[in-house]
Amino acid sequence: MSGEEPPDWSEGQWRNDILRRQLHLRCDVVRNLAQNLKHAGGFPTRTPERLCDLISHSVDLITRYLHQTPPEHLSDVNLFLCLIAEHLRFVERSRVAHTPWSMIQATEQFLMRQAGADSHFILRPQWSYNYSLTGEFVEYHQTTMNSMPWIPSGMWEEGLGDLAEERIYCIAFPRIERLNAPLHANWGHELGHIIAARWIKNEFGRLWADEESQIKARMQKTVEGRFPHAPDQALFRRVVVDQYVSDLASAAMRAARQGITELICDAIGVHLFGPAALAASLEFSAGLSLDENPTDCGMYPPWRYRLRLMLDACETDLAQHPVHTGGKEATYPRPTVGAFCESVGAARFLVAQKSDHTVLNQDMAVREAYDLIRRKWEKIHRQALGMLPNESQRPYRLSERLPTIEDLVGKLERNIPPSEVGVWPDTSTALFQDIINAAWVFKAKKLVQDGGWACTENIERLYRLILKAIEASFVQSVFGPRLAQLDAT
Amino acid sequence: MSTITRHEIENRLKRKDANSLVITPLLSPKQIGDASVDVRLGNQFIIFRLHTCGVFEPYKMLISQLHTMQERHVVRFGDFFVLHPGTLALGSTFEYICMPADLEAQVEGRSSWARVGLQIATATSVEPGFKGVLTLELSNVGTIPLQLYPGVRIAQLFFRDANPPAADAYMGQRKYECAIGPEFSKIRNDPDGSVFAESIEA
Repeated sequence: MSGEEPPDWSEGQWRNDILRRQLHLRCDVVRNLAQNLKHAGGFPTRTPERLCDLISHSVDLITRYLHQTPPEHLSDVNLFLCLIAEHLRFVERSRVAHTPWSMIQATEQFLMRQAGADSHFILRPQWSYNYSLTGEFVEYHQTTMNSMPWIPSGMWEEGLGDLAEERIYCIAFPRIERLNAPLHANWGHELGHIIAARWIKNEFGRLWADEESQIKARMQKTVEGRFPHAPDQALFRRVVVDQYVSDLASAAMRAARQGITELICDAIGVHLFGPAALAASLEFSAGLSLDENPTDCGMYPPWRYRLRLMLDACETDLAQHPVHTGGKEATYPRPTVGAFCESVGAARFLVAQKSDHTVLNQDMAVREAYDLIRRKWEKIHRQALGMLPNESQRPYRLSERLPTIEDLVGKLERNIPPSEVGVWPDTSTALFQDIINAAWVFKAKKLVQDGGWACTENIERLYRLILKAIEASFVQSVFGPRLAQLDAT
Repeated sequence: MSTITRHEIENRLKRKDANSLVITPLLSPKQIGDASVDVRLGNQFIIFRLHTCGVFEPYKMLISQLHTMQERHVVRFGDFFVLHPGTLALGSTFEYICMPADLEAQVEGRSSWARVGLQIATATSVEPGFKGVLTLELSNVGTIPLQLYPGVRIAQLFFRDANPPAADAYMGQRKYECAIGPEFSKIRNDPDGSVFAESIEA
């Protein structure tokens, strides 16, 4: 051994040898996993299969051109491959056994109406107690694949066909709330992330540019007051102050961007689902701190602040006001929705406390961010809602849906799924949002009537009836017109 | 006890009081026949897992253990479920039924399906006051596999007067109340069943 020359090894060579060999294997495994998952089926919609096709296609191209991949890019390809392999968990968990399957087709249809017909959604549970949105996947693949110059330009799009023009998102919900259809009004918030991202992309840069100099000037004034003047260290002081102000401004920008994002999402949720979105947020946030400082929680706004804005948006539906029904004067809310309005209106008590403002004022960056949000919120709100499609421009108002909600709640009282409004043959298909709101109204009413009502059996029966109603109204809206057309001929 | 006909069925469906008959949703008025209502197939099925189950022990198995012998299968509307010859699957009606206290119903197969070997129900009686979708015991007694599309008209209901009306019609006391899909067997809940499953020696 001692007489032999050591092999000509280098780190690059070592990496190249292993990665090139392993990438072939990993590509095969990922492609097979994607195809096996797709063909095993059991999905409530076709979207999980679309994601499998997307992943298979990208992996196919990576494999085909692996021999031309420059050694210095093998680790990038490996990273991309590992990331898209992780996305298969979204597919796996979206099988019907893990989801509230009765409402998935209807929910996807509803979400597509808001986000655009080219948008598709995977709904899947996650074990952490949270709702979240991941994606968009097609653009992520496209951008990454097009950044690999050794793969001929346009080949990725060409091989993918129509799917290259589509968008795929994944919305996660807490696993333990799988059947809690009323709580899934929170999906409105998650949809809001798509709208919020558009707003941030189109508007935030301009908004920040208009405000940045004034924000920095105020910061500079405050910061300079904190550093004593020392004539012999003037230059050093200048550098330190500038750096400090720059860091603060950057933090303020992050706080503003994240704050606006979440507040837009809340606004979209309330816009689409009305007070049901507020009720879902109240139930969700009951176990969380309402006054957490954004700097301690990924720049998320305090819940109390969020609930206040949501409450403001729902005020028309929760406050008493005269209404005309059937040519008669009456006072809203009527008995059916009264308990719900009262229970959700209890948020007024929560938001009357200004402890969140105290938290927001503790930190200069956060204070500036929320000062900006307070001044600009009305315009931001209007612009964001304007990004919804025309048919969704009108906000959902419980007070305008009163006869429908009363009818649906009446059905729930009789243990009938509230999928239709009226009595046969004069029936119409209930809207997705009406069904969700009716569930909350019914629940609040029962809780007021009987404090012991909220036992597992009753709650689960309510969930079942709501799930059935959402499914039945979806089937009726899709197949009803076709059957009517057939009947007419 | 007499079978009610179209006019009375429609009257019952139109009523808003406690004696109304609810079948929801009725996707087409043509589902109402001269003396029956056609009901459609739902999209949930329960199938047996033969490879994990030895024998069904009705009074010893816990409800959670039933999952070792049966599993739920959901078919998207627009797709189909294949029922192979000699197999049993539990399906359900798509329509949710609410029976008044003074009516009972019989579930019957449709001859068009029977002619290709499909039997849809063996426990065919629907009691006054029942609420829920109806579980169908689907079995293929023919020789060729059958594609079953959720939404197709699969069975028909015949309604008869229950006289006098049932006093405590269902009232939440029954095993299969407010079901929205086929239900696993709950025979274990029969209060007297276990009496006969215990040894009488010593």
